[in-house]
Amino acid sequence: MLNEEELKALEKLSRLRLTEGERVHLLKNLQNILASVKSLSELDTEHVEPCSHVLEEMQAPLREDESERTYPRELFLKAAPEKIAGMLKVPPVIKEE
Amino acid sequence: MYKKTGKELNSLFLQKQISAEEIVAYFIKRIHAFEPSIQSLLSTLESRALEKARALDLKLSQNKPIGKLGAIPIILKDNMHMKGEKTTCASQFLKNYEAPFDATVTTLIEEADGIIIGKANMDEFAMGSSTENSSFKKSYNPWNLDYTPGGSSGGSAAAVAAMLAPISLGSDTGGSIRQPAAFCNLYGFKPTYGRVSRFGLVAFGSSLDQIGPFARSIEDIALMQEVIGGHCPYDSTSIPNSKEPYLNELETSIQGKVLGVPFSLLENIDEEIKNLFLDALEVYKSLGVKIVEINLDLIKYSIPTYYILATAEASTNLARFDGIRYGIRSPEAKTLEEIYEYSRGLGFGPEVKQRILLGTYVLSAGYQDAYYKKAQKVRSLIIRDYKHAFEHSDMIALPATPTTSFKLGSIQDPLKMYMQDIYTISANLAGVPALTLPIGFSASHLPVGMQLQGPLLKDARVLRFANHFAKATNFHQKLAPLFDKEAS
Repeated sequence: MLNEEELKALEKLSRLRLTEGERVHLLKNLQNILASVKSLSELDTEHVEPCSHVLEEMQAPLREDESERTYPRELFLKAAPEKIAGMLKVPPVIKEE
Repeated sequence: MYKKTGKELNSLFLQKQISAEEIVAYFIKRIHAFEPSIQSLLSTLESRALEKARALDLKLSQNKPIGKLGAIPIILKDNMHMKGEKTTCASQFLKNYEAPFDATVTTLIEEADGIIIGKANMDEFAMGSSTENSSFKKSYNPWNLDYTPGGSSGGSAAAVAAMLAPISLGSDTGGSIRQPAAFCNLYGFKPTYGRVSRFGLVAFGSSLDQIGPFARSIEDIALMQEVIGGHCPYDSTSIPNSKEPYLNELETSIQGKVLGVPFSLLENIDEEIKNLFLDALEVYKSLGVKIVEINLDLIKYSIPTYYILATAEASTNLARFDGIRYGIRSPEAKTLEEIYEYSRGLGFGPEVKQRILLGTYVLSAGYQDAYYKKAQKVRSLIIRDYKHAFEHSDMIALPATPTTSFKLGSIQDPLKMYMQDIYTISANLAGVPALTLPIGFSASHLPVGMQLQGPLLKDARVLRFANHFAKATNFHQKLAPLFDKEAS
């Protein structure tokens, strides 16, 4: 069963910070949901191929390597919460030794 | 005029009996009058819609060709992009986000001269079955304002049921069009996976998501599919050569056709719904359709299968909401890691967080085979069951929902909420086209729907089966009494 420590590890993996209240509530929900999906183990799937696309005959389409439609940078930057000199702004990620 | 279907409004416009501007102004007036009591919309595109309408009136006066949706007011779910307008997905994360481009459905509707007048409320990121997971507001069922319109496309359904527009679009990942359609006495269609382009639809479960229409007439559903159902080069899962003659096929006879029914799945539903469903089968019999029993017992595994696959896909899709490229950024975040963790913690609601965590869990090292891969295999088994079923039948009939609409706030347990989709999810897993149609009312005057599911790529056949039922019955013509009046 999923425990609190594993939930905290999941938060890290999901890049998602929960509040203490949310943690209690979600832990219980997740435990219940994971218990309920266990019913799948009743089914024998040993010789069954996993499905990744419902239209079996469809192939991933390829196109010529040519750029066709582009959008102006300003349009997309408009949506960014912080920007600087036409670029996305993030905190320093490379630290001086 | 509110009783008119989209197609009827289009005819009046083409005959110059009414202008596009008058039509749009009329429905905007209805929105002002009735929206406060149903809360179905997140934005109203008043000036943009009136401008489009005036341009269309000019076009008609110059005898230029008019598109198939000419002058029909349409509402989009707020997870589809319209350039320069907000796409919030009913999430705090995207509360100020403006779409930088049009979704393919938006482009196709506007090219066909349809007029988009508003964007509808929904469960946050389309995760939910009651629209109560919207981070902005609850929507109310026009048939009874204490009840939910369903979800996740609850706003799109409530708006059409209150006749704020004749047609709307929703998206359906596990039943998010068909369950609200059943709750609001509407047709709601989930096309074959890949039929309608997902370009510009904010992704939830990419192998399951499909856009489709709500309407009060089957002709409007067919009309909308003629416009939006086509190949799109910007969606790599879009089906090539995707056009079907939906309107032309509506009248083709269904006499002698075989309707498969998984009777064993009817055991656990409301007696009222079961009886109305059996009555609907009698209508089909009277139309010369043969009813046979089919086996779809694996449907009982569709909910666990879905909650593994859809959350896995959602956890991947929602990784793009990082607080850097768009959406909100937590003011408390100092480091890059904190930007991700705090912004997502701040911007997502509890159901979204729950599904991201679940999806991350089933994809994580050590669990992936036991959960994700297992679910992919069960999905193959469900697809196999459908293939067998369609060897013996032309169409499948199922209830749409196990219950009628429920009171807002009455379901708190997520597992109980997920049960809402017991009859709808399998169509997403198998990719097949599926439609909800009105089949009657409960003793408490709430609508009841049933579902038709067709073989892959046989979307037009599904609409044809529904059209013959519509001609023999009048349930779809019943309007929500509270809104069956002019706006004063």
